[in-house]
Amino acid sequence: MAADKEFVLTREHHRKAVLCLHGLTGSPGEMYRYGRDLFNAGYDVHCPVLPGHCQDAEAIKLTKWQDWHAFSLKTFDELAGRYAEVYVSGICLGAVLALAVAMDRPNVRGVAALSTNFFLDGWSLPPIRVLMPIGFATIYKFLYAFPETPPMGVKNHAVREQVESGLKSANASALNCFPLLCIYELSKLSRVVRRRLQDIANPVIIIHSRHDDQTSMKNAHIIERGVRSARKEMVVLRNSYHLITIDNEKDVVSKKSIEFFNSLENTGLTAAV
Amino acid sequence: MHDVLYSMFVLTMLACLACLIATWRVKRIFRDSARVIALSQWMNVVGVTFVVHLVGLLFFVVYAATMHQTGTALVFLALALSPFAIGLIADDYRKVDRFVIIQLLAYLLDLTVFPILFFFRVLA
Repeated sequence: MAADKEFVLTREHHRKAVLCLHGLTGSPGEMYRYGRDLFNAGYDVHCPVLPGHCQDAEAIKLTKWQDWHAFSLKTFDELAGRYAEVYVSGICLGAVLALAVAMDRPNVRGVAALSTNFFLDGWSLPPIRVLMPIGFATIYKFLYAFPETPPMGVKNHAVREQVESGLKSANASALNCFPLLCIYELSKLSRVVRRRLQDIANPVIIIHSRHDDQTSMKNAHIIERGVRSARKEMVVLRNSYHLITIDNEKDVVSKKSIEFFNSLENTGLTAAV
Repeated sequence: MHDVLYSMFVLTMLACLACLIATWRVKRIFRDSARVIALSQWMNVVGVTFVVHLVGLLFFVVYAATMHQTGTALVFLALALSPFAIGLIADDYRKVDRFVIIQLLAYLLDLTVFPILFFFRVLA
């Protein structure tokens, strides 16, 4: 996978850009192919590294959800100052952040929420996850980390092997585990976003796999029911797991996002304020 | 009834001891990303023993309360809730070592106070 660190794809005189946000403990690499497709379709693409990511587990444990949120808003504001139209797209934690940005910025032209992760309730997580609330309430939130085990969010075997070897390499930018403390921070961010979904009136496309191994379809339905956008679309995938931007249906994800963003151009459709 | 009480006492004590040992093991390896599988196995032990310990203490809270030993019931309740109190105070990862030591001391206190109360109050 290319772009293990932040990547920016720009052309001169582009008026529209997409802010891409990667997932929890992930890296911009998981958005690179998607970003390249958007770029080829005429969008500038900015995919920064979220605070605490692409370093070691200690760095991410020192990061609070407010850091992620503030960083996403700041990056969006910078882009909004340079482009006429700015869209926000994110996967996993990035999708929750994309919704959080739309919540506070009515000028977000459109949101693509990919494999949104309000709850870690997928089928591949170990049974001990039922004790997560106890972990959150005790000091064990600082200590525990769910190991990243197969299928690692990827259904495609070749890609999965690539991800697995990437995580094992000495200079891996993504983590080989999900620290419980990060999941705790994500759960707090999720709670804030879920409570304020009604504030989102921006056009939203929700793309989620029915067989997502880390987050169930419930997460996608919460957005669909919660936002008050006049324009919302739901795309359900059937041959991918969690990392839909690199899995079997990555082309469908890019195509649907591009079609959705293109359909919003010059329509004047943005958040009803 | 004594058999049930003794069984619950032994179970709760063993769970507390196992929780103490497992937490100590977790403390030693939780920063080592190469040992994340071992960490998760030790955390499974922590998870199970923590719940057994909690349930055991709550059993004695109820038992002491029904025997009108209000003070004893409150001490058992305090022991049961102490991990949550420590968790509530612990909000900064930078001080994690300190919080783990406090938790380990709480388990040690538990291992001392619980048998004393069991033999001198519950069985008395």
